[in-house]
Amino acid sequence: MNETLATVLVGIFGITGSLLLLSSALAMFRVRDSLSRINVFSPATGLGMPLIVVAAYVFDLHASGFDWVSLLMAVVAVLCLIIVSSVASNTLARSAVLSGQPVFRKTSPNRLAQPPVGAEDVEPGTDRP
Amino acid sequence: MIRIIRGVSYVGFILRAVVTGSFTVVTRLFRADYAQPMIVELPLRCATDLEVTLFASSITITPGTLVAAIAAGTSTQPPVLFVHALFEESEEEALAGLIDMESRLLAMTRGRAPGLRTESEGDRP
Amino acid sequence: MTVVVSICALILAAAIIIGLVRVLTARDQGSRAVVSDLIYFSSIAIVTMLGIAVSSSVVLDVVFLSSMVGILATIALARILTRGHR
Repeated sequence: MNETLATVLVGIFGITGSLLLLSSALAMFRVRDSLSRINVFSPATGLGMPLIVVAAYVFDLHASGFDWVSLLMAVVAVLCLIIVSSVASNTLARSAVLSGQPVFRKTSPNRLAQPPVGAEDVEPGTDRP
Repeated sequence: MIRIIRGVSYVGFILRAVVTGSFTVVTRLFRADYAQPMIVELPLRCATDLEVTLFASSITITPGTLVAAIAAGTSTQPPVLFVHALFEESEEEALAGLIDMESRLLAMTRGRAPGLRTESEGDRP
Repeated sequence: MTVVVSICALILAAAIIIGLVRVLTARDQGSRAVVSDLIYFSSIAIVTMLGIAVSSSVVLDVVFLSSMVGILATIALARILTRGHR
């Protein structure tokens, strides 16, 4: 792999990944509550960071040649980023809901706050065994 | 064998959803109305722990949808996911997209696509 | 190679600065937690770009290890939000 091709590939992957991280940071200003912020954070970890890993792998391929160990490390790093960031976002969203972080008031419908149509509350005390 | 093919196609479906969702997040930055947040309630057809975990992770990794809370199922009621969606037009549209993803997931884990849930049917083991 | 890597590092530095402004102006703790997570991943990307710029041989090791331990920061922040409860 010659120098020009490596530079172009690192440029494409690296700049796209960096722009995804930057636009994720900009999107943090456009939404109003923490749940939406966790939501718009997933392009950064789901697509932006894997592209950075691919850029690092292309550079490694250019610098030290093909190696099965580095290919395995790159694949495991991408899989870890996708799976681990998904689980981490789940945990963070759950703790944000549990600790009572404010939810944007224009969230509609909000099924965590209001029951679906047709559901009836049972009067407490009447159905106790 | 058919499961492996369905698994590969499911992974492709998730990757395509991630790319298009990221594209939505980026292009919405240049619009005046950014998002319409909503929290919808989704009764699950997934039964085992593996299916529920895979489905919740698939929802969360897709930009624009996020699992906010999960209610455990009882003997009569299925488990319920509370999904926070940003870019959907209405509640029905959000639920339709999620149910489509769930059908593909169940076709991978069970080998065949199950039918849609009817109201009184309880298919938990 | 140096020009490309510098452009990437500048974009990532802009992302970190925007994130820091967001942390300063956020009103609830949950937003601060998720923006801190974004700053963590941007820092990892900057370290990767620095490694590419100086032709280091451990670039892939750095990004591999940091992507695996990245969940610990998020889990710790989530535990702090709920004040120790699970």
